[in-house]
Amino acid sequence: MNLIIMICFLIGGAVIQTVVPSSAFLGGAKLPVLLSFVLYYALTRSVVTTMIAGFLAGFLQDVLSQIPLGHSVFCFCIAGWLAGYFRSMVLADSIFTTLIFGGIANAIVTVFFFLMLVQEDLIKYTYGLITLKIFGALLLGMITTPIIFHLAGRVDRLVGNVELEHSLDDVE
Amino acid sequence: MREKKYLIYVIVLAVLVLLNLPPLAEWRLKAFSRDNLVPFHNMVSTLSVKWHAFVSFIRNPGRPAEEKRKLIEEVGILRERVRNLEAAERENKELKKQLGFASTSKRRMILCEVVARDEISGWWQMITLNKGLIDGIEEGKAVITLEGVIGKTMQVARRTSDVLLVTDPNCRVACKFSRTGAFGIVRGCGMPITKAASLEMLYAPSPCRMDYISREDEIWGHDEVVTSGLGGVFPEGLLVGYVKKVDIDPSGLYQRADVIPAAELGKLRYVFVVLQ
Repeated sequence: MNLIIMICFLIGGAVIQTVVPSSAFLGGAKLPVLLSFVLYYALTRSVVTTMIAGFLAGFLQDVLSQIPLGHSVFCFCIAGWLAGYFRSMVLADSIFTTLIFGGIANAIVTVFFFLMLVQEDLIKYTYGLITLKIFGALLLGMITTPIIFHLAGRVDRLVGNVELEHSLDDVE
Repeated sequence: MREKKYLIYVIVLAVLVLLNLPPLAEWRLKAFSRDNLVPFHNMVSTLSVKWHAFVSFIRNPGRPAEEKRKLIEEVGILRERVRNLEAAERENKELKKQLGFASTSKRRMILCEVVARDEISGWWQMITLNKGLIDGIEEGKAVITLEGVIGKTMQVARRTSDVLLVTDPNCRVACKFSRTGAFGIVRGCGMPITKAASLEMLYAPSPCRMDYISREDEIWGHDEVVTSGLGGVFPEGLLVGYVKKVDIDPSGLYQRADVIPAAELGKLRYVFVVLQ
């Protein structure tokens, strides 16, 4: 059940991320819906579930974009693993935590992608545009992640995914 | 618990395999996954179109009837023009035949529907079309609308094609000014084109820029920019856009011009891929 819900979340997230247009003011940064789902699983589930979510979310992003296969998978798995590593130090269900985690994680992932794509000569970005994009990623991460946490948490409770309540006891 | 740890190793191994896949295998895996996502893309695209039509109808219920009347009127005018053009074409052919000219080949184009606007990662300015290899589309073909050039095909799967828009910094188009014939290269500036007209009230990003224009050529605002046919991808004479502003580039050797694309990139629904 958990895996089916996760797949539904990720496919729906991929569609929303594709459909919602980017803004010129934010350097063309997209809503980080997939990354927000990975963070949701990182802060509420076990490491294994987080890694599966990271793998699937990254695979979807790689397949639907020009990014070489494996790059998003790698980034999302690392982001999820790091968020899970720090969750014992924070209040995982606090809106402030999700806001900070979402913003910082999205900005770091954007920088990481930029370095990887520039190194492979796949993109040509000016410094001004990439600065704007990182700022956009930070802002959109802070907006999107709390919303995703709220919605995903409600759906999980609705379908009876009780693991959510016991998740913090399952820290490895 | 052991089983769970085993799963982590499996995922790490899968990530390593994905990162080290040979290009051909990588492309096959991507194409296979994309082809299987086509029905889903089509469904979302159809829903989006229906929703826009519904909202438009609610906002202005009398508009469809008015649009229908205008379209009927326009069809009548266009039919009349076609009849005149057919007569002119016949006359043209006859004259060419008499003068011994070889007939010029027409462009072969294929109509495609846009199934996804914007790219999921946000790093490229792209759209996805609902036709691919099985329809005869190949990589590096010009994509146009009735208004003008919008980009070129990039990755082509069996049933979908990705189009790199002219606003992307990776897209370069060899162009010329139709008035003076001066050459240059149009490149995207990386700013997404949105439908929001209010955007330009606060900040007007330059969607495209034409570089390497000779300093001797006199360029005016609203000058028409068309493809020169020199790059090999875009046939000659396709409208790209209009000049917004001209200045000297930092090196002082050339002029450069901000270009506004003629096609409305934020409202694309149907486009043509130029096959020949």
